[in-house]
Amino acid sequence: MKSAYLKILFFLFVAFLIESALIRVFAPSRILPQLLLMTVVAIAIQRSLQEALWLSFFAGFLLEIFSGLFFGSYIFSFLLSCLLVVFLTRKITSRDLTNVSGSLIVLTISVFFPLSIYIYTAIFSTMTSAPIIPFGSLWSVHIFLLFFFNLIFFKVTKFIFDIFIKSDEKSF
Amino acid sequence: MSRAITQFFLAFVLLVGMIFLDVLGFMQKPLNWARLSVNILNWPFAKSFEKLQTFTFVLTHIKQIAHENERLIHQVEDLSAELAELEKSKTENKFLSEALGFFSKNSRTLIPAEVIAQDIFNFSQMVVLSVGNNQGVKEGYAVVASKGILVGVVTETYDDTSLVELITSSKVKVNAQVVPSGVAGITQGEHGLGIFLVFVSQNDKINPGEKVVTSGLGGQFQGGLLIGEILEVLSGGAELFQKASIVPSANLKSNKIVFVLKP
Repeated sequence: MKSAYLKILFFLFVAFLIESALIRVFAPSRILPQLLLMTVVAIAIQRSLQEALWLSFFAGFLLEIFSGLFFGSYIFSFLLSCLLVVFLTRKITSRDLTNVSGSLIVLTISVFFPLSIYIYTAIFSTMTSAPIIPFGSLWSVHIFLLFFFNLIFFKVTKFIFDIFIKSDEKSF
Repeated sequence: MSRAITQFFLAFVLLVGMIFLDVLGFMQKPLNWARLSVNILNWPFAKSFEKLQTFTFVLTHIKQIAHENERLIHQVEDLSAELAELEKSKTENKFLSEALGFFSKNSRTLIPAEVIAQDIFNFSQMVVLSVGNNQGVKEGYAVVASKGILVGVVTETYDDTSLVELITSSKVKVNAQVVPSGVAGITQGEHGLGIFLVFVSQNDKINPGEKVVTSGLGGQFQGGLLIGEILEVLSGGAELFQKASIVPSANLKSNKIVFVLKP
């Protein structure tokens, strides 16, 4: 279990380095895959809730390093996204995803993630009298294009996890 | 299940604790170190992506590059002639200024900085610079691209990094004037969706294509920094003030090297 945990931590960190390098080179105006978010989705499917929660927390913290939003936006949104994936794959579908159910989960998270960021920043904006980020700048039709990029990376991540990291059989 | 709830509760408590630490300023140093470390660690990946970007750009734009090259050769010839004229005018201007007893206040200290990071999902209008308190950067300093084009303002400084709010952010308001008409107003960002010139009197006339520069009023920014160009006057005569949209002169999010303007 410990070795699987370390492998996932390493994978998360490398995904973060690649994602930050992609942003650095291609600038965020382009649509780029959300590597860390998709890694968290794969973790939430394969590992137990307890493990997935702390790994999501770590992934969110990595994104806080470059965040200009209120501190905790990404940690909060990653935790919620992780919970949502765990709920979907344990209560609605199964952990053995078909192509359709996998795509639907990636789509749900691609849409849900900016929404949770919006809610978090809106709450903090009302507390600090800072202007609220307009919903349109967080959530636009580009999300559907982003979904395709995310789906590709999710498939790759899931494939790597299936090969190198053994699934934790515990549901919760 | 109950253990999972406990774990979630613990994660939530840790998050709240970290938020408090951030509010009290204890997260600044770790975040500063983390930014610098990640900037070094992701360098090999960034270099590979840059090579890939250049390669694909050349492949897809080879015809356009040839045309562009030809156009730039002509432009260099024209600008060389213009530069010679300007040099002459500069000498005359200096001579006349000295004769009239004017003195120049145009001494600007520029601190070069690399844009090391941007908000990873582009949700905020902030970038991280590779300079901070140790390099003499302070909150409120203007950040410019080459040739004095205003990019943003320093909002937070750490030891070796600083956060810059771009002029497209709604938090940044700049006293501006339209040139050559001299019409005064205030530029305000719209959450990354654009910049607007607001509080322009209905008696003043502004036209699309006119340049907008900082007026220097209020003292935060030096006068004469280019902000952008008027695209469209949006408000009608029935309103109290006129409003116009501005196209920023700098490509705000793709600047890799900028300068912090030390007053």
